[in-house]
Amino acid sequence: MTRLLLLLLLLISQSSQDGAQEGVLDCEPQNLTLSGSGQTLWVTWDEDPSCSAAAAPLSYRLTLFREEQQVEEANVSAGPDRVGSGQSWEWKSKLPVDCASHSVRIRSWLNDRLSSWERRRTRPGRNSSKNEEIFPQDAVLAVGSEATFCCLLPEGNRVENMSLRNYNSSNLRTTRISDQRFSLTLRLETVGNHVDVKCRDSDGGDYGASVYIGYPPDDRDLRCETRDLESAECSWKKGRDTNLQLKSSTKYQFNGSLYERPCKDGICSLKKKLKVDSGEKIWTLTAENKLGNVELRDSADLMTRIYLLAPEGLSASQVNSRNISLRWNWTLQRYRDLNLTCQVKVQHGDRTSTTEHFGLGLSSAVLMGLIPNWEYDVKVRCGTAQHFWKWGDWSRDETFRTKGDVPDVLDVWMQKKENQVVILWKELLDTQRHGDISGYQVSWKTGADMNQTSDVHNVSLSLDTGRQHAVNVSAWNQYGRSAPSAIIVPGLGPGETAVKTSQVTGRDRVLNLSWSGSPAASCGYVVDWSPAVRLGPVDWLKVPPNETTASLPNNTLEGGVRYSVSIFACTDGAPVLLEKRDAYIRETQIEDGLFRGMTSRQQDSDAVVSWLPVPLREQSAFITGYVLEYRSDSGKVFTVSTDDPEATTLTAKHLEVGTYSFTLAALTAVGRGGNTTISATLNPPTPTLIFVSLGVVFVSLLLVLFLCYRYWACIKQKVYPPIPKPVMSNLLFSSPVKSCAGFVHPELSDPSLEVMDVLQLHLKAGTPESGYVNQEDVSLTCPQTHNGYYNGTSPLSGVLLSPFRGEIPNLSYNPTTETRDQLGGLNVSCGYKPQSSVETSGQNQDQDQDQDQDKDQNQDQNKDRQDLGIVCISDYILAPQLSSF
Amino acid sequence: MAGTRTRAAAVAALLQEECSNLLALYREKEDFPVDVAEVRLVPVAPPSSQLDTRDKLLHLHSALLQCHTLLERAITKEDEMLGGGEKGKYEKQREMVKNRLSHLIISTGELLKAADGSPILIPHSDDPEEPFSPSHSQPRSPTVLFKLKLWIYQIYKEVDHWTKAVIATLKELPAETDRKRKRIMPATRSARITRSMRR
Repeated sequence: MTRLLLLLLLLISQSSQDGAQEGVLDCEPQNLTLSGSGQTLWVTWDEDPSCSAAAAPLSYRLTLFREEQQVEEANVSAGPDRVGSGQSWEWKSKLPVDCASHSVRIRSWLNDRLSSWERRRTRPGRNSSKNEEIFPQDAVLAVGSEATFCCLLPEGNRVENMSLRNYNSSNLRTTRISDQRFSLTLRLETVGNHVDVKCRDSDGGDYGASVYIGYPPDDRDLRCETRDLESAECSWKKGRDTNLQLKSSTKYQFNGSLYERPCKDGICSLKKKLKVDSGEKIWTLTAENKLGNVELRDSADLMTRIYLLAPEGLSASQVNSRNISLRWNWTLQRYRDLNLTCQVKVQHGDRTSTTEHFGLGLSSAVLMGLIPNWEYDVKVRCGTAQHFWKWGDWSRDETFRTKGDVPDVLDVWMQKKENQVVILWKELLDTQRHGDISGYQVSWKTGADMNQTSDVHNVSLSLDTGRQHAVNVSAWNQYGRSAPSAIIVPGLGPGETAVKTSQVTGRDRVLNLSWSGSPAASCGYVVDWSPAVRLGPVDWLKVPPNETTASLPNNTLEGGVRYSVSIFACTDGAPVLLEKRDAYIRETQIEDGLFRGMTSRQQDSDAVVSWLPVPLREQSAFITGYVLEYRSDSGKVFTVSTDDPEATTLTAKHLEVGTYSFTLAALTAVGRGGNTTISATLNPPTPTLIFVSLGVVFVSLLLVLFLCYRYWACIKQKVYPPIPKPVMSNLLFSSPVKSCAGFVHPELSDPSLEVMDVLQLHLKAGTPESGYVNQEDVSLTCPQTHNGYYNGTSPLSGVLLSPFRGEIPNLSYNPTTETRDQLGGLNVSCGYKPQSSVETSGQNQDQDQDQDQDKDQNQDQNKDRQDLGIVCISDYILAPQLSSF
Repeated sequence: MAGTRTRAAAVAALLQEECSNLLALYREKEDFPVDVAEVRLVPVAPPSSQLDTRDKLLHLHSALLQCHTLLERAITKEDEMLGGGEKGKYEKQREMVKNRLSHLIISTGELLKAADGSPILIPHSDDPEEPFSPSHSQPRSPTVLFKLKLWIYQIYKEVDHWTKAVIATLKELPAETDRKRKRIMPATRSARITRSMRR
């Protein structure tokens, strides 16, 4: 029966389809509905039961309208399993569906035949409301998401625009839906905790909505532990700020229980009571806000996560000078059953040290190696030794002061100053005094035991330099005397001067030294230093035996100052000087005007510039040489240099005549320095040619004179032919011819003497051309001695003894006396001097008188001579001779 | 009376200037236009010329009190919804206006007392949301953020409006007050005597 009914229906259906093929499809959708939420619309309808019989697949055509404007047309195929039941279609809108009214219509479609449209269904948009012209209001949205705002105005108004302040316009999209409806879509960015979307109508009215923009929770790193062994304390990091504290603060649930505001300053924690024993436990935390949630999990055996509370009642139970005993308490009884490891932090000044101590329920510790008479701050913290989780809290600080003690051993050194030895020691640091220093005692042996006390840190001792001395120094405080510190002062010996000095310069304000190790350095090395030229305190440092390098503390060294550094080997006996250095921690530019006494000296066409050696105190860097720069008037610049640091001259060669400026500079590792400038004018070279010419003329003149002298007779004969002369009587010899003082003609003084073979020279003053004769023109007769010259005592003897004697002869008249020799072949020439009587001076008158007497006495002798017939002939008159120059 | 009036006028002038500054800062902060539609939040009739001095002062005094209440509510709500973080220039100006308004209320109260009127007692509110409100008839503050911002802006404008009203009224007041003072002097004195006798 049922089959028959179905067959009948099919036939009816078939017949109706056949009828439709000719016109409108009868199979129409029914019960059309339209609903929506957010940006989604749902369309549902029922299929006409009559359509179920259709053989071909059935489709539906839907048309969607927004505010009466078609926005979508879609074809939907009815699924085979849905035939005969409800159908649906979902549509995603770019706008919130509430922004506008939406309507839909539908009809069936089968084999190119369409049904008539089903009645249109409309979903109205949100109505304009006085308080919500824009929606959504106060929405909470995630950064980076896209949001659409709709502006809905009542009838009669018209939306002018929608806007958003401080937003990139490329992220904005506005759509006019109708005169009263407008939408604005934007990609949300973080611009503070909210932004305002505004809508303005044509009358200037402003409407707006705020939107909160933020992030979902970002909490992380949940960790649970126990402190009191009675509860779990869990903590985690808050992570990124959600930016929604005001509108949608994060809510926390821990193992299902809600917790309010567990976070402070980015760290969150909560506490949950539970029984703490062995066994793993699981904790879950959920953080949630309007934009999302995050779940954190942690699991652990809490006995392996014990975070100890701070020890209580820390105190120093026993205080000594170099160690103390500490005690503390545990308020939780269960801690006493734990194997603990504790850290004791000891702090004094800026220095901190930490020691670790172990024990079951540890509650005490002993601190060793403390400084006597010193204040310490101590605190303690502990952790479990087994399954160490983390250090517990520090206890409060406890301050104590150790007992006093004798001072530490002094650091002693010595400095030799001429015959004195200065024993120096470094002032004890606060950490080395252990009390109040009351003084120092220095003791040594020079035959007997000697000692001396001092309040300062050095003493000068006059020790026998011939041998070495052991000097001990101790410091005193109220607790007693320190152990003596010994230094052996060496006696005089070679060595120090034999050590060569090298140069060293610091780098980066550090003066690093290194030296060759010495087997003699059994107790290390001592490096001492002091300013090279300035009187300054010596400083030193001691280096262990296995080290051969040291850095001098730069706070003791000054840039640009030369230091003398000595490196000694510390031995069982006296220190042995190993090496010496001249050092600068930092070489600095030498100041200008360095060269004192800088002068220039011309040497032919060269200029020799010289200067005084540069004192060490003015050398702020090692001088490696000098450079002389000289500039001529024309601006040409030349240089000459030397790399000899000891040089004190430089020569500028082959200079032209003119004025030069000479600038001398010292060459150092930091450049030229100490520039000193002088100017000098270079004169033409010495007129050598003139001197040579003069010399030639002089020699020529001499030659002429010699020739004249040699051939005077001949010349005279030629120029002044001989005038006949009367024969002179012997009286002529009695004429007042002035003879040299003390001069006595040898023949006259000693008649017994043989007649000399040499010519006797009769000097007489020449007659000046003017005819005037002065006193000096006195004619002298200077006989030569037997050996050539007379070595008389006359004041004029110098003149007389000169190899050349000038005489201008009176050529007009020269009486000649013929001597016996002349007669016999010897001629003696005698000049006539008529002026002599006039020129005889008073001074000579006495001599003359004496001579007169002598003459009287000798007249007889002369007579004898006259008897010998001495004749003066002009031929033997002496040629004029040049006086000595 | 004259001294009190002068002082009140000076305080009002200062408040008017400070309120202008506050409005400017707020406009800049919230990007509001100058021409936002005015809404009267204080339901007090403006002091018309029909009223006598005492009633004028009473109106002004009442309006200022309501302004003060609104201002305090505005500050509380603003900090609550927008965060009362670091105090910037705007927040300082806001506080200054509130304090100056308090001074003006006291000054007008003294004027009112001098005009033989009783100043309005400030009722104490137990509602932390609404610190003190002379009239619970005032609408509660908006809960939507943008509306709250507009409301705050309107409150500032209301303070500005009533401050200007005080300035205008005080300018008109002297002649009237002096006249009235002369007129009411014996009565005032007798009233004082009566009050002191009652005590």
